[in-house]
Amino acid sequence: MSEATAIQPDLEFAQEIVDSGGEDVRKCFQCATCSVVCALSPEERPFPRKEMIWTQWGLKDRLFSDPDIWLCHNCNDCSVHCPRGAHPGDVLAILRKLAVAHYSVPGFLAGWVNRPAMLPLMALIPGLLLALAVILRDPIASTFGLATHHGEGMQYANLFPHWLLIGFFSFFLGLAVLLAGVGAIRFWRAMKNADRTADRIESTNSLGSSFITVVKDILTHQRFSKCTSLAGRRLAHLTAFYGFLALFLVSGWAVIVLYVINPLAETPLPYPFPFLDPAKLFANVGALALVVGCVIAIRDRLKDRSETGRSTDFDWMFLWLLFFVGITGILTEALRFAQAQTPGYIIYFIHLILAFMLLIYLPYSKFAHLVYRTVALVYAEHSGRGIDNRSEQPAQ
Amino acid sequence: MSASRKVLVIGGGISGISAAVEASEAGADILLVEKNPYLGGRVAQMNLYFPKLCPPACGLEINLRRFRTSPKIRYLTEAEVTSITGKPGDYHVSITQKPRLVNEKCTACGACAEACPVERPDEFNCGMAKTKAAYLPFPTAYPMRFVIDSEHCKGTECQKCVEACEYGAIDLAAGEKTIEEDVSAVIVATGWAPFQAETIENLSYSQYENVITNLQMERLAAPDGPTGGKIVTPSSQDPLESVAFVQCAGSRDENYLKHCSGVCCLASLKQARYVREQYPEAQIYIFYIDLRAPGRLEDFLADSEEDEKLELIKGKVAKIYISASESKLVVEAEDVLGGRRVQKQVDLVVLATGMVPNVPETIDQLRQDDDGFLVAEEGPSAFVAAGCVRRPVDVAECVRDATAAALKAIQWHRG
Repeated sequence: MSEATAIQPDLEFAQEIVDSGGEDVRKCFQCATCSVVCALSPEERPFPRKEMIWTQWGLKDRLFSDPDIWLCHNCNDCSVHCPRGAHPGDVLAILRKLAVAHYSVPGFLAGWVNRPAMLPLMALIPGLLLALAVILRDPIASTFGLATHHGEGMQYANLFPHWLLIGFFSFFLGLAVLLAGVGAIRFWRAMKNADRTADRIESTNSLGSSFITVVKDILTHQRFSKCTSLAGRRLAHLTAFYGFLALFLVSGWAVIVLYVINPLAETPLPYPFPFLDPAKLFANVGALALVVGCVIAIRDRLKDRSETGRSTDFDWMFLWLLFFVGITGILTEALRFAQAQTPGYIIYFIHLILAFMLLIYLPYSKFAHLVYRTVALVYAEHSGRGIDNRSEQPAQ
Repeated sequence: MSASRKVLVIGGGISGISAAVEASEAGADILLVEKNPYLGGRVAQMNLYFPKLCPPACGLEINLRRFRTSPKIRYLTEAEVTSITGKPGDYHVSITQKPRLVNEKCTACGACAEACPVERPDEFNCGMAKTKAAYLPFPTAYPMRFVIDSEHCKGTECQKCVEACEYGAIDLAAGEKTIEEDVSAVIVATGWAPFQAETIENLSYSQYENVITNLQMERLAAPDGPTGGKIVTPSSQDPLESVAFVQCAGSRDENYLKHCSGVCCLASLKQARYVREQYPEAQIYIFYIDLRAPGRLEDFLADSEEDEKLELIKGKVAKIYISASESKLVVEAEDVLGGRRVQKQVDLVVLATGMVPNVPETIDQLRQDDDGFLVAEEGPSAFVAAGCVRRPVDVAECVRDATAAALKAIQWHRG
């Protein structure tokens, strides 16, 4: 505190937070109750008290280079105990949303993806791309001698052959991963610069071990379990997370079966997987978990703000998208078993549009927390800030 | 202009006593109604005033003497106003008075208490001690007369105190009285109650004996308190090595008490002096959001800052627990100026709880602001609020406020 530091307030940024639903930040009087009641906040430079005053002052660069906004799981403990109703939990959530927009490339897409008014356009883009893919299916197939017919009766592969589907999604997903990676690198550098400028220890744990620690934590949701006010949020997240993971793994397995195992095997494995195939069972359980997790989360967010904090379009768009991807996926499968061709193809097409919106818009939507939170956690662990860095806990 | 030249004063604390004295000396007749069996209110519970650190006997005694010797003042203890009807300048008041069961013949010899077989929690000492059902509220109580707590007394079948009293001062069969009076104006000086610390979720007040309120601290330090003025841990009567004062305990908090009581900062700084007086080596922490020491009170703060073993930490205590390793109380806050969480192990935690206005529910004419304090009615009104029921203030301000209230009240029976 001895050295004077010139700060450059960005009032427009402060206003942006207010306009995004963080207007209560102005009420904060820096009592720091939030930093103490938070079960996740570290001993040194705890959050979210400092983020509240940075926000009031519009210290955009500090906030965006602050891993702490991502260490928060939005359990609402801080907002519940806040003596001023300043809702630090909501302010951090808005900061995360703005951080996603700040780091994503190209940035304007974040504005599009998270605005309900843009939803028709954002659905139209994958709709047109998928339609184009269907139109180009036969010309491409004949040029490269690829199969377009995958069997009698209703087969989704007759609409989208495996090579087309996998090629299409791999291309765009690759692009999304690349762009998300650019955002992640920009974020990492910003955090590193901030620590260097402030003359703080830059690393204590190796990158590899930090990463392993974080992955373990993500798989167990250990940190999340410390949040008390909204214990249900962890359950919802855990359920949806494992549901999504199961579906992601089975999709990968399907690609391996189709393009690695079957071409080599004497008796190819049946595809689509039969209902009792372990992979299929696993995927179905995953789909159910995904939907159930979304339902719990939606129900939870519909409660009073005083209990759950404020939900913004950023939250709702992602949550409903995830929910409908799950629902249309289950319907698609059901209609295949029912051999209802027309409704089946329509729902399948919609499912693909939604899946595109979920996966390809990842760098810009709330789904980006997958990248930024992971990066922030790894950085925190790597820089010795520690993802589990609390001193003695109360005896029970 | 009015039927009566009498002013009703509700509340016999420093504000009510001062208003009564001032109005009576200006010519008014006074009826003062006090809920407790003694006068003096919260001030009587204080150990020392800030900033001069003189005992409350100073101011209270001076005004009580004027009160006692005035021929124009009548007062009722253990009495409450049940209704007021009429219009400004001409009110009719109904009052009920609980039986004290001890009459004027009492010499305060204490024989009744010795004989009394039952105990009651000592409210005057904030529940930190017990008295017999026949008791003297405190050693210098006014009126200097014992009182029998009818809620705990076994009644006429016991008779032990009646037998013990040489003066025939006890009548266990006495009943409740109703008093009707006509008055021209009403001064409401019902004062305050400490905020209910047990409702503050994260400060564990009801969980740990060594977490006390600032009012309890006054009683602990007071020579007529439960420990004879020795500040020790309530749990084991041990001397102190460290104390933490938790400012804004429930105050300035939307979830509990929204307003700032304005006096708790100085009260804690004052209580830190109590501790220092008895324990020159004790470590004292005061956790605050903002320290409010306006005007000349700033000197008191400046002097406190000289104390090397008094640490002022900016940051509100948001957790109090027992440490797993040493079984000691731990207070936790973020040291905002240092930017880190701090945990301090202490022997005693004092919660600086704020003032909640005591607004009599039986009087319909009263209007309150958002925080519950009385506000002036629109237009002419013969209801005047004085002291802490109007605004949370210190004793000196109460006396000034009471004088102003007296002036307003007597205007209703001029001419």
